[in-house]
Amino acid sequence: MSLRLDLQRIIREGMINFWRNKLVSFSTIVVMTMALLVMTSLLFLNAVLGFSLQQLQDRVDVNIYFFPDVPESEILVLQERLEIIPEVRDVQYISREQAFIDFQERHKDDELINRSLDELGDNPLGASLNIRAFESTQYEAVITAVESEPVVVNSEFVERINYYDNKNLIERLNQFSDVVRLVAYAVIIFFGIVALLVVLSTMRIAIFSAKNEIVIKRLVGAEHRYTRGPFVVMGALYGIASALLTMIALYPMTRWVGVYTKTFFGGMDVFNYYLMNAFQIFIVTLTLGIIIGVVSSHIATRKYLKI
Amino acid sequence: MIEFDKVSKTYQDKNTSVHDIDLTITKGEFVTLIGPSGAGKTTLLKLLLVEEQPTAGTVHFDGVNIHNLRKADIPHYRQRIGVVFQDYKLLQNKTVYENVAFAMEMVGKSDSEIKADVPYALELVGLTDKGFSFPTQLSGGEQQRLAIARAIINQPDVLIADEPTGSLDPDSSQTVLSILKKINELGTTVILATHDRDVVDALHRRVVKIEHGRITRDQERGSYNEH
Repeated sequence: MSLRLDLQRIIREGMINFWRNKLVSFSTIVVMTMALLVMTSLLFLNAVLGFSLQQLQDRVDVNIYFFPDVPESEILVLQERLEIIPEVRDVQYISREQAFIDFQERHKDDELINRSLDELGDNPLGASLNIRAFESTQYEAVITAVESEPVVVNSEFVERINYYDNKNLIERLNQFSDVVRLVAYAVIIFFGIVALLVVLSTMRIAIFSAKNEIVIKRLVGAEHRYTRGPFVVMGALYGIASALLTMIALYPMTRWVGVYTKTFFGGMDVFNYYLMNAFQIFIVTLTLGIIIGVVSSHIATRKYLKI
Repeated sequence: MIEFDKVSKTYQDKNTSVHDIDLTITKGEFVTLIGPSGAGKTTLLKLLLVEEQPTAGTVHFDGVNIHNLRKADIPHYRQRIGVVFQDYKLLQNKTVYENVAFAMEMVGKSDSEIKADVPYALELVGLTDKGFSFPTQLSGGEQQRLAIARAIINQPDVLIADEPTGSLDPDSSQTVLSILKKINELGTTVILATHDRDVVDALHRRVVKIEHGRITRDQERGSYNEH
C-alpha cells in the first residue's frame, strides 16, 4: 500500500474520531489547555522575574570620583579608554557643574546644607565617571581593568571608587539572582511535569474508553499503524486545539494581570509582552501541545497493542 | 490446511481449558464445534487467532506454525481469517459502511475497490439500506450480519464464527446460517462454534464435540446428539 494512501486514511480516521467523540475530545482539550496555561504562565513568570532582576542589576553601577582640581581633559581621555573594555556597557561623565546641580536638587529642602553651600561660595564637588557593566557579575573584571589605568593609579586624581562600598551589595544581588533563577527553573520544571502527567492521565482515560476499538482492530488483523495512528492524530489535534484555546485565554488574562505586574514588577506589562511575542508564544504552545498529545497517545495505546 | 497437534492450554489460575487436542481441518470444510459452555471451544478459536499461546503442542496453518510468527506478521495472518464474534465486536464509532470498508482499508484495497465491494457485501447480508447507520442503531441480527459482512469482505481462507446465533431470535439465526452456508459453498472454510442444537441439526455437517477440554466426538455428517 502506498504511504500516501496510508497516511491519508490514518489522518482522516483520526479527524473523524476527534469529531465523533465530542465529549472525550472536549474534556481532553480542556485539561490540556489548563496544562498549557500553567506552562505558559510559568514562562511569563520567568520573563517577569528576568525583567525585574535586570531592573535591579541596572541600578548597580560603579563611580569614580575625582578631586575637584583634576583637568576635564584627563577624565574624558579615561572615559574613552574605559568605554572600550569589553564588559563595559556605558560610561557616563558627570562634570563638576552637573554634580553640583544634582546635589542641590537632591538637597533643596535641607536648610543646613543650603546654608553651608552659600558659605562656601564655591563648588566643592569633583567630576565623576559612572560605569555600568553588562552584567552585575562583571564588575570585578571591570574594576581590575579600571585600576590598571595610570590616571586611576595616580592618587592625586582619584578621590574614591565606590565599588568597594557596593561590593557586598553587588555580590548579594548576584547570589539572589542566581537563587531566584534556580527556584524559577525548578518551579517551571516541577509544574511542567505535573501538567504533563495530568494530560497523560487524561489521554489514558480517553484511550481506555476506546480500548475495545483497539482490541477489535487487532483481532480483525489491523496493523499497529492502523490502530495507533488515528489516536496519535487525535493527540496532535488535541494539541493544536489546546494551543489555540490557550492563546485566546491568554489575551484577557494577561490584560488583567498586566495592570498589576506593571505596578509590582518595575514597569513590565505582561499584556504588552504577550502582544509583542504572540507568534513565538503560539509556536512554543503549539509545539508543546502537539508533542504532549502525540507522546501521551503513543504511550496510552501501547498497553492495548499487545494482543 | 489447519492442524492442531497435541495442543493444550492451561491458564495462569492452573485451569486447563483444552487438553491434548488433535484436529485437522481441510480446505473448504464446514466444521461445527459443539459442547457446553466452558468446554474449550472459544479457547480453541483464540489459539487459532493467535490471541492465546498454547501451553503445549503446535497449531499449523498451511504448514506454518502460527505461534512462531513474528509479531509484525500476525496482522497479515489474521487478515486471512474472517471472524464473527458472539458479541459482534463492531467499531461503534463507525457507520455500517465504514465498519466493512475499514477491513478493506487494512489490507490496502484502493478507494475504488472499496466503493465497488462494500455495497455488494452489504447487499449479501441484507443491509443495503443501513449503510449510514451506526451499530447501536441496528438490531442484534443486523449487527451479526454486519459482522459477517466485515468478516467475508476480503474473501478470507477461513471464516470463524463463535456462537454467532447465541443472542439472536430464530429467524435471524436462520438468516445468519444461510449466509454461512452460502459462503462455504463459495469455497471458504467455515468453523462454527455453537451449543445451539437446532443450528447443528439443521446444518448436518462435520461435528466436533468438545467436553472438558477434550475432543469426545468427531463425526463427518453429524447432529447435536450422537446417533
